[in-house]
Amino acid sequence: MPTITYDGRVIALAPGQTVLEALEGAGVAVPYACRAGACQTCAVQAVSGSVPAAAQIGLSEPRRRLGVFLSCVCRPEEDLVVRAVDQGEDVPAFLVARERIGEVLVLRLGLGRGLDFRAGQFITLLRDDDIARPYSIASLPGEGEGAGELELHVRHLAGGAMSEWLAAAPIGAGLRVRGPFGECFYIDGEPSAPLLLAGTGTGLAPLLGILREALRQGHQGPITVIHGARDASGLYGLARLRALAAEHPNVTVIASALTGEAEGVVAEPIEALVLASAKAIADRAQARAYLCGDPGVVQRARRQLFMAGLAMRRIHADAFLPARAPA
Amino acid sequence: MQSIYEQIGGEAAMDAAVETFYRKVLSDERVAHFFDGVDMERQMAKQKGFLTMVTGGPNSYTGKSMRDGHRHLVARGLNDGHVDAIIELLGETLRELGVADNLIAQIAAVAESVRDDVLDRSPSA
Repeated sequence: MPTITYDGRVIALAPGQTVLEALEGAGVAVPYACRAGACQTCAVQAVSGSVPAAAQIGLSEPRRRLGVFLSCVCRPEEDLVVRAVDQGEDVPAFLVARERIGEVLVLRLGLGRGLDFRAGQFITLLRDDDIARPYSIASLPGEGEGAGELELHVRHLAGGAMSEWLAAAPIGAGLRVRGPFGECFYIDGEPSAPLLLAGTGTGLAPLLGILREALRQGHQGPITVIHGARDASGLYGLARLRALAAEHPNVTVIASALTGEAEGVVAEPIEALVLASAKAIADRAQARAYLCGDPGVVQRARRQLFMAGLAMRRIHADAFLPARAPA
Repeated sequence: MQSIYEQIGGEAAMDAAVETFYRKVLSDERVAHFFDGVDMERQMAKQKGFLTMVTGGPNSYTGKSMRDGHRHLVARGLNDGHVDAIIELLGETLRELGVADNLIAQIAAVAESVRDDVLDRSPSA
């Protein structure tokens, strides 16, 4: 009979027992409601071992890829290592490099220990005094020296508790990284799917990760990247994007800024550009879209894409919300 | 005896139907405004629950939950005309997906049977 390892404890499953029953039998309190595989309250994550398809019905594709499953209907056929969903690991990190492009800090952090993430996910960055902010990962797993590095894009906000510090912290400064989190990552196994990556501001960070991961995996389908900023000076990643487009004929880059002038940059709102790009895709049902950045733009673009014929479950969104001081 | 849900293709059919249905709803001036500002993924999950229920599939919707769930919309003017529109769009969706007319009629009847719950009123005599 297979076993489940939870929190370091190995729990044997009785014949026909579900993961939920086995965990409850071992004194683990897993939240539940319907116990029928519908409400998803009992979802947990398998970090090792695969689960039967029946235990993932109704879950999004990214969640399935991450090993999330419904414990109340899971009768595993192999050993599983299970933990709560979105638990994340805490890893020490330190500042390796910092480049400023306009208002954006492009940071490289060295990791004290390996972090198992997918390009496009995000982490929570924690300072010694526990100030915490989420940032998306722009780099790919395995990149960098030692145990690995993360590239983050941080908008330097005047008076920003974390960003002011990051703008001035000495190279080598210590931090903690918790994660990874998020469902905006490249889904492999669909090399011909048309991809649409659209974002505003530092929403480019996860999109850059997803783009580079797609290319690393030999993605063949057309990839359209749309980056928008309020002013042309905010298109901090344009050179990089254009270099990738020059090397890969299936990549098209569209840059938009509402004010300021720059070569090849249009002044149309992102939502209009997203809609036009979607309409140019012949096989819309197979397309996958990733939307990251300003919440209003993300919401409107998602609606545009759905109405234009993209499947809702193939539209992945990551809205970036600024931190707020407590009331 | 198979439920209509199973006859028309079960969950896979629901996934196709709900996308088509939700697009129609958001494009229809009569009812689209009730969905402004709503989280689209959560709404779609509810629409899927509704479609599953009216086709006799496994569901967790009850008359009470239809009543409670629509009360805030009744306060905003939800009326028979809107319910008519939704049932019409439901029929169009099922027709586009190739569901037979007699099954569509049966499904519409189930939708009709929750009209009073949706509009939070006592059943008419």
